[in-house]
Amino acid sequence: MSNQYHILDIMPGARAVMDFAVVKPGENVLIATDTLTNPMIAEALMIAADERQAEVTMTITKPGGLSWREGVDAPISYRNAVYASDVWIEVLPIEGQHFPRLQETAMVEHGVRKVCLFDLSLEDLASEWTHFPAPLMQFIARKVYDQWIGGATVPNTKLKTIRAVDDNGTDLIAKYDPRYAIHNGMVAKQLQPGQWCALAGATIGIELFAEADGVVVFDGLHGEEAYKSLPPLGSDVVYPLTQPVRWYFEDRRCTIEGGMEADVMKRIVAAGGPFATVLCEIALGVNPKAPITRHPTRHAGVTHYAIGSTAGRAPTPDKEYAPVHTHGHLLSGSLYIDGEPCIENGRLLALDDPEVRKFAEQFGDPDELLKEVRF
Amino acid sequence: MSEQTLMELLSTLVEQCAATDAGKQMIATHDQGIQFTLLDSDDLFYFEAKGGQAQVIAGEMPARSLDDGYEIKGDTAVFREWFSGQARMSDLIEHGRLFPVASHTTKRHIDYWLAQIIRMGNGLKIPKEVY
Repeated sequence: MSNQYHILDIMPGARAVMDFAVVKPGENVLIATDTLTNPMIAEALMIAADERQAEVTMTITKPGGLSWREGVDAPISYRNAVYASDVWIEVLPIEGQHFPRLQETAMVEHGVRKVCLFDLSLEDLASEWTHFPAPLMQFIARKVYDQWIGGATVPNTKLKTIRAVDDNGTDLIAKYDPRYAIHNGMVAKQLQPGQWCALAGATIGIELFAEADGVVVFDGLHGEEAYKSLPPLGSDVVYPLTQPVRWYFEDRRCTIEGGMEADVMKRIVAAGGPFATVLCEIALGVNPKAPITRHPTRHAGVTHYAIGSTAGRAPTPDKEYAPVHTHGHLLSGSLYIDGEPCIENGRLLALDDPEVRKFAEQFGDPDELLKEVRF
Repeated sequence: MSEQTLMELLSTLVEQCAATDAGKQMIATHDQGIQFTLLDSDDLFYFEAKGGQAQVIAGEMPARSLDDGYEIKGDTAVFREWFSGQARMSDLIEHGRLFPVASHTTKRHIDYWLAQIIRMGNGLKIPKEVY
């Protein structure tokens, strides 16, 4: 843990959490942390919620990691605290959900609004990327989402085509039902009961595919406890790779090739059953300031991919289920939806959209706000 | 007395929900059309809420944007369990018996809304009143 930050340095980040959660006076706010989280973050969040005149409760549990893979459910005291809250702020040491079942019940039955802080350090909360204006992020996310769903209707929904290409050899073509487009709560003007979002890190994507063929060559991997044992040690983001990791897709299923990082991935997938190699996600980040080395999936124009399934959260009558959701990411490259560019050479084109630039003016200089910070 | 059809059952729940001030307020939260597709039957019906008024209509829902429309699939018995208050929507989704045709993020606020309308139609307390 770093001691170079004072609580005043991270208060803007903590207040941004309350903006994303749309915390109102009198609401019950639950701040849920674990023993891996710097206590100063929890303290800052409590102060920020108190400033909003909310009723604040905090829980500290032992680290859960991706405990859902072992079938672990949340303790009843924690469940009840979540269910009783209007807003649930979960601070996690990894990008993922400890208890996805709890999250789904909390949202569908109890109308909880949730904000996730995925592996955020004091430095993150003190930096400009977590202070990125929530309404502007929403506006950008909505632009991208609208392109990905592209005038689709229900019923009579037609499949759309997504293509990812890069000079590193990536060329993947997949077809999807746009009704399965994902976003993390940022395409609505504000978070509503039953929705969640990730602080400062909107993503747009697809989590179910009808077809997928081609190859993806990754720049990095992320989102697994097992990756913390790979360089750089202690981070679930593995970048750079010692050898490229390649996924070769044929009829939605992939084979994995590469060096020691690919070996770790193969071991995870081998325990995932018959659907563990099915393409289950293509997504992108929209925040131009998110640090690529620590939070690549949040950075505008970075695409990430997963195989397996989204456990228990988007079942289909096909009953394809795998208890894994294993990721890799691509830092540059281009992405097309039905032949129309969405990302060109790593640049998320929505950042240059005249309407986005106009909207950004209310928060500052659009050139500065929408300029990418790549580190 | 013959058992109500699913469409009649849902229609009764919506009427009973709309009969209370809290229920009216809940219905008015969103404008949305929801197509119910039965995996074991050709019967089709949809729920339509607009401007605080809600009704259940036979047949296929007129096409609309993804923001305004949604589809949920399941077997007749599963919908009956849910509508009659014997099962929760979240449990049916978790157990792979009810299939929202949407990602796990896109319509959860609509799922919450619909689940509360059904609860209120059954005369049950909504969770926020219990906790």
